[in-house]
Amino acid sequence: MKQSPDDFQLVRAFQSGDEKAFEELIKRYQRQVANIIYLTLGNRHAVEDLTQEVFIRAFRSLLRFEFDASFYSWLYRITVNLCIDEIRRRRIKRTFSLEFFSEERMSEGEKPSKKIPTPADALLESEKKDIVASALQKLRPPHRSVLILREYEDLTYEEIAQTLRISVQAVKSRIFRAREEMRTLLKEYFQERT
Amino acid sequence: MKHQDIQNRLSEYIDGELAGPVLSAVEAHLSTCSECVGIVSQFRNIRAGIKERADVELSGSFSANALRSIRLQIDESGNWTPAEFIARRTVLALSIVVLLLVGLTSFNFQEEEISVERYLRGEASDSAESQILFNGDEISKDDVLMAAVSKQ
Ligand SMILES: [Zn+2]
Repeated sequence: MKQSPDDFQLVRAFQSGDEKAFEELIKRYQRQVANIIYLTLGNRHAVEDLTQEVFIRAFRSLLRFEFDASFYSWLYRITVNLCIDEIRRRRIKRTFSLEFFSEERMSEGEKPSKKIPTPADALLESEKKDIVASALQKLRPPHRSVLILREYEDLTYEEIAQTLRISVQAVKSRIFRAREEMRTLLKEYFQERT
Repeated sequence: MKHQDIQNRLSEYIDGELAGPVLSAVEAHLSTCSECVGIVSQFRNIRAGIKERADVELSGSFSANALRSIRLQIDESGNWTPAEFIARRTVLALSIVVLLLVGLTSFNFQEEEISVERYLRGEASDSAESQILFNGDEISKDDVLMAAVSKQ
């Protein structure tokens, strides 16, 4: 369990008007929030800004926190929701720029690469850990989030269910499917290793 | 349990979510099936790959900067800080109490009006007021005093 006994005390202090308590909560969870964002979105671009945005959203709703879940599962829900918003926003932006500005972009020599590196390509051009990260990006966002909370944050099925407000059964099946998909995506990589 | 059934539980197995006879069955199967051992190893590699990739470190001043930005945004948007929120919540609670008191008082007035209407319609009542209104005699000081005391 990651629940520090002091999280609730800090939240109570914040609710009584102590803003420094909130800064302590930021210090405690900034790294985890940043990495969940990074793993979910797949690049470092704007990770710091988005991490800040998570804490802004948290600040705005922490007064209504009811102590019915751990602070971190509440915070990770905000993080996952923000990532989903961001994925949607980037998808719209990408669709828009591809449809309307593709020619200008090409002329400027910054045509976005539609090709996501295959495991074999990635193995040549980057470290092995990048292969896993790029496979992760191919998962559907709901499967991706569940796997990240499990593998990176070591949350239990129960905690993930609480964080994402889904059933434990749904968590179990999403993790299983995410892993099976990852195995298929990383087939070549695993074959090369054996 | 068959190989395929075991394979479908390997994900739960590496997460430590299995117990009892299912766990024993999976463990027994793993000692004989190299394919399932391979899958467990691949799952563990995926986990290690994700953990290794999570290497973002924010600067030491991130929390102070974030709080400063929050403060700035709140000043601009007119949102409330916790202290302001508590103050406003107290004012709101007091307002509700005052409104409730006003409401209760006006409810009493209403009751009084209803009794007066009943007297005017000539409905029978054994209250002191009705005795004053309908006895036809002159009203004495005692009658008024009695009416005032028996009210409620
Ligand atoms: Zn097997």
